[in-house]
Amino acid sequence: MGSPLKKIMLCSSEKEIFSVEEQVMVQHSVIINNMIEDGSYNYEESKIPLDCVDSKTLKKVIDYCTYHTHHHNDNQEDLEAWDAQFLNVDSNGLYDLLMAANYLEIRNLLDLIYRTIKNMIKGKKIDEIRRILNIKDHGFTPEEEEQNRKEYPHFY
Amino acid sequence: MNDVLPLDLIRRIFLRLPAKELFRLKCVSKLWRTLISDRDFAESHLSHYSVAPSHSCLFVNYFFSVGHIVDLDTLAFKELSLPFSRKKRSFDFRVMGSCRAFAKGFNFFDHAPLYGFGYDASQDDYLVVLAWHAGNFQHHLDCFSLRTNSWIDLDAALPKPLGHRMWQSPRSFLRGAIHWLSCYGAYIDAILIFDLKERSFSKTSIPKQPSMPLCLSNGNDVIALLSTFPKLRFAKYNVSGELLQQINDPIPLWYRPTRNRRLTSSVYTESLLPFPDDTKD
Repeated sequence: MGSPLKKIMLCSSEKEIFSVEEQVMVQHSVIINNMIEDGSYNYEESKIPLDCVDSKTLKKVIDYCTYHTHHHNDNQEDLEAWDAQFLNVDSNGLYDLLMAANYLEIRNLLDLIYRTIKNMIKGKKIDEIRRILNIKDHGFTPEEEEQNRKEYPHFY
Repeated sequence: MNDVLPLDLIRRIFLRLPAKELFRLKCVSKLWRTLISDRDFAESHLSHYSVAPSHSCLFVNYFFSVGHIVDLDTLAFKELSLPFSRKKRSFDFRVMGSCRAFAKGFNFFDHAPLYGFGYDASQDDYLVVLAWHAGNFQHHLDCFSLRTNSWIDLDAALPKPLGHRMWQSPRSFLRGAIHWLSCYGAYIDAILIFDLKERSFSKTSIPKQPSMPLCLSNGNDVIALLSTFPKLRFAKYNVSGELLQQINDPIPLWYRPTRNRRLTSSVYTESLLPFPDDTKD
């Protein structure tokens, strides 16, 4: 675990630099924790390049980690309300966050996003799921699609 | 989502959804259909989802030829169609047990002190285990392999004496072995275990239980079957044994079993696994 005052630098795909408390990232991201622990991060010079995470997403990821570091003693309900508000983004924003959380191995954020997507899908009609998740090309031939709709009309 | 997310992440979302839901999601896109239909995915879904699975209990009353499935998370029930009709009753029909989401029904004589159904991963084979006794109090143990469609004689593995205990349902299939709860009087105090790979028995004692534990619900609470006569009664306990809730009779009146042993049951979890189709009953 790093000391609370130390800062580390994260670099987004647009080469924008974000300075974050070390312990915030170490506590949440497996990848960054490993980097700090094995000594490959140099506090004077290093910037951790996150080429597949854009600035907007990186800022959100840092917000999430910071909030959960400083509020981990809050009651469950308050945290869940904050999480729900945090993930109130469109499906593209959600995918970007998922990719970033996956890349940085932020397990509780990954879990939260999986649960959110799961709830977006669960119990919904097929047409609705396609619209919500923005699936334009379902890949079925018109015959297959018609066959499915005939066989399981209550799914659509 | 198809062109944005890598397949691995889509798979991980699917792992969190129940089998019923995934069956429906096969219609969303061809890619989803391929992912969900994959045999390896079905295997990992079963082992992943069994961390917090949705359990159901299958009850079959062969006297009235009716079957019901009780969802053990919500205790909602629905009727089940049986492979025989009310007019043409099948008095020898029992629910043998279930494993990897298949419940196995079977026709056989009432004299079997032990029966169960399980899966041997080392041979990728489903096995029906049946102990029976001939007139001379001699017990026999046979095992039917669904893969080879043949009986295997396992008399040598049978513990002696088998005793006059009742090895009761639920016959649960866990970690490669069939487990029978043993009731002695009104209490359950032992578990008999048959390992399907080693083909051998072992026994373990447990603290006396007045009710029959069925499964863990939502990963936290124990759902137990209190009695089947005169009413079906379920109870929900927390892991330290405190009673949380008692549920009476979710099954309609006419279904009430007049005698306990006409009702057979088994707990199962839902999965995506295909049943080995080269098998015959």
